[in-house]
Amino acid sequence: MTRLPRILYAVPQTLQVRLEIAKAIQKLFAPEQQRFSADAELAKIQRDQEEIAQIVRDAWRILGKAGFNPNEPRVPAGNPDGGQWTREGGSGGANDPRVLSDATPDNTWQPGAQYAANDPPGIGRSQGPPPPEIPPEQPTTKQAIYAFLTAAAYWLVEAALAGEPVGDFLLALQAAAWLSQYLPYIYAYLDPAKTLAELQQDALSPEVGYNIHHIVEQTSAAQDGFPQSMIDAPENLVRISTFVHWQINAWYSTRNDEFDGLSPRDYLRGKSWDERMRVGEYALILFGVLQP
Amino acid sequence: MTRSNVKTMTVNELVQRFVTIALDQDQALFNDEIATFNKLYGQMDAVRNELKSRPGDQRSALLPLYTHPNIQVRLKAALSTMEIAPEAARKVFRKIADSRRYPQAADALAAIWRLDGKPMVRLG
Repeated sequence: MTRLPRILYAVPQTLQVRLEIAKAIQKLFAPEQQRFSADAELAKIQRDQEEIAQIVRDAWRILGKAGFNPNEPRVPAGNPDGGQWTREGGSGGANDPRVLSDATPDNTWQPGAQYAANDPPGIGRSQGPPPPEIPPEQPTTKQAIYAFLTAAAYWLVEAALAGEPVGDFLLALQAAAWLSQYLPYIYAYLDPAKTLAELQQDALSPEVGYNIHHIVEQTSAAQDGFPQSMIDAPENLVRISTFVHWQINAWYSTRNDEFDGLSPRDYLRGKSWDERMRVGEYALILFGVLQP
Repeated sequence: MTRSNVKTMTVNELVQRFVTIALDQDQALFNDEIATFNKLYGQMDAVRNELKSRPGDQRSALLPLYTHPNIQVRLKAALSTMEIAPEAARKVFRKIADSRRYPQAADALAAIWRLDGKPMVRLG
């Protein structure tokens, strides 16, 4: 099967829209969050949440294919890969799975040509399609869950970007009880950037869809001899979207022009606490969760 | 790919190699294959250093990649040419940053700050 692309994109750009969505979701899922926090089998729940988060992340990766079109060819229902988006042909050329992030195949690319991929999807949309139909019960296959989540999330962000109302669809999502375990991860990702004080305050209230993130990376700091009391101090803890937490962790490991070709983690070896904190806050800003 | 390989390549071949590496980087990021990405980072460094060393600084041959359909190719082309075409590169960075497609959007935002003379990271 051709590998599908990744990339998270098309988050509503205006604070007002993002706040509207965040408030709506907070209201919609508050009972679920209380149930989670009250559950005595915390370890099991955490494992379940991790699995759910992985599923949603995969769905987001599918969603991230620029130029994604819900009507594009899919593997027919009944096939083991039913419901997944596909492309004709195999790897290489126009169908090279490495052309991950955008719609236009690289072998048709011409210098100077203008491609829709250069613009965020949804711009210029006047009136979009209706939202996807919500299955009344949880689909029996992961593929079907992916398919619905991606279609729903795609519709939601597209509508929000276009300034179209999303409240009715959110209410319909609420009515489908099986969705309550998946949606917080998506909506946590839509949070607007906050101040450092707000993110630190949030860390006192763990919620589904979020991780408690160490601004100064805990493992490398411990390896360099910083005490656990500093590493776990409230000033070093923020609550951010689980997806963003994963993105930042990966960013710390990858070589980067900004760090003279080193990974941020390698750059920070032997550095002071203050420098680690500065880079940690820098990452939070770059990934859109901390206000500059 | 060794440094001697890039020494024997034409400019066009180096540009094609640059594109191939960037697409492989995108794949590596997709698969969370960080070690692979970091190896590819070194390979791309060799290509752009070779282009820079050619008479007249042939990194300008990467400018057409600003309109490539793949976001990683566009990002890397702009990062590799921001010294010789800062304003054109800035436009590429701005579009990528505004797209909020991560991790490329993060790198693009960092590059804009560097062009503004306000890098968050001060090495050394």
